[in-house]
Amino acid sequence: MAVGSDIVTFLTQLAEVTLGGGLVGLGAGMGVGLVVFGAGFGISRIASAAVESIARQPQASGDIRGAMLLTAALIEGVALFGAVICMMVQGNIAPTP
Amino acid sequence: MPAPIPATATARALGRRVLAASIAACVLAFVFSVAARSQEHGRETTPPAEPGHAAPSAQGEAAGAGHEAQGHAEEGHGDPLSHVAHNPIYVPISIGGLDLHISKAVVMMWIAAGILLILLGLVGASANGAGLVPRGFRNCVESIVVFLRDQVVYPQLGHHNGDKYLPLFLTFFFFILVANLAGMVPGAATATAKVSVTAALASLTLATMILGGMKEQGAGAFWKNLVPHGVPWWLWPLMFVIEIVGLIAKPFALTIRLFANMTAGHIVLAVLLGFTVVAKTFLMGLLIVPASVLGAVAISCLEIFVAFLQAYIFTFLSAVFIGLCLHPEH
Repeated sequence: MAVGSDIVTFLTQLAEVTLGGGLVGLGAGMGVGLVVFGAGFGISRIASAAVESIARQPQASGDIRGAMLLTAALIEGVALFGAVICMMVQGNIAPTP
Repeated sequence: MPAPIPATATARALGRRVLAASIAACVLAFVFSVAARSQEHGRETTPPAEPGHAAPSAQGEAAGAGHEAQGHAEEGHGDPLSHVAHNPIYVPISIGGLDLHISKAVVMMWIAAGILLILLGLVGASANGAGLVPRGFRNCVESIVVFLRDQVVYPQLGHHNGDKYLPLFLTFFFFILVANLAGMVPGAATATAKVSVTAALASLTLATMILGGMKEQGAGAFWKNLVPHGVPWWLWPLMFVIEIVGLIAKPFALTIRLFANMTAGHIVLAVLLGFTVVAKTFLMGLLIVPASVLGAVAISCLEIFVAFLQAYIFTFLSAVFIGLCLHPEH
């Protein structure tokens, strides 16, 4: 009977969390984590290719640095777009016009 | 050796056109904030009360309740995050039912435009006395302008169109740069961290893409040339829709990129500094506060770099998109 009431309490709390919208926070957080992982992976690939090519040809380092910054900023734009969507999903921080 | 900017009436004309374009950007941003606000009915724009034009208001109220409960462990002055999203209205102006209030973001845009007016106006006015070798602040501005002209605008638009559209790109770069940097001052807000401001700037890009492309290729030919050659007739409507979506998506990405970079940077800064209010005892404060403040300083340096980079990215991508619309490669 104690076990039964524990189970009932647990199920009630679970229903509260899911139906009360508490999982939104979990979704937003996991979303941002995945987005950051993707962005970090992409930018690390850019950086490794850039560093390797600078090592091969140091006199082109200016061009390579420019290309690296530009493409890293583009990927970061996409990542922050995902972060903004997660922020809107969470509902606490909204882009006020 | 890059060609120097001629110290003649051309420089003053350039300055005048930069001024006109920056005023146009401010006006458009005003208009966009009007359009967004006319969909909501709130007065003071705090994040719990106004969830933005996408989220439904029911979620906003629930989020408002949750927001109060799970703020950053403070009781007095409000959440550190609230000052990032908080946009206090100073002068509520309503013209014919249209809500044209003057908020902090609007004032920050005016400040940015005023700084540009004074600084760049002085630089342009000094064209009279300057020889071929620029000195001082004029040297700094001229090196940026020459870099944008030779590395960004001329490669994308060619010489003739580049000279015609150069004031627009210079305005983009300097206005976004000054607006971003002005947000780093304590107590000031970042104008470009509002969606309406970045949407206004991106809509300038979109308007130049469409109108410039129509002027360059002819009104009907521009829309026809959106779809590449060699597409079979039965595929043409679908390709046209795809190209129209692509046309809209590019400035949309410009909007979101600039807005999200500025907002995210300030939110990180606010969260890092917000850790200081978590400390309840002096010993905890001794441990938490130095780490928090040093982290905030490092993030502020990164924010300054991001301000420059995002201004350059916006200008460069605008040049690429406008160049693509003026002269599509087949």
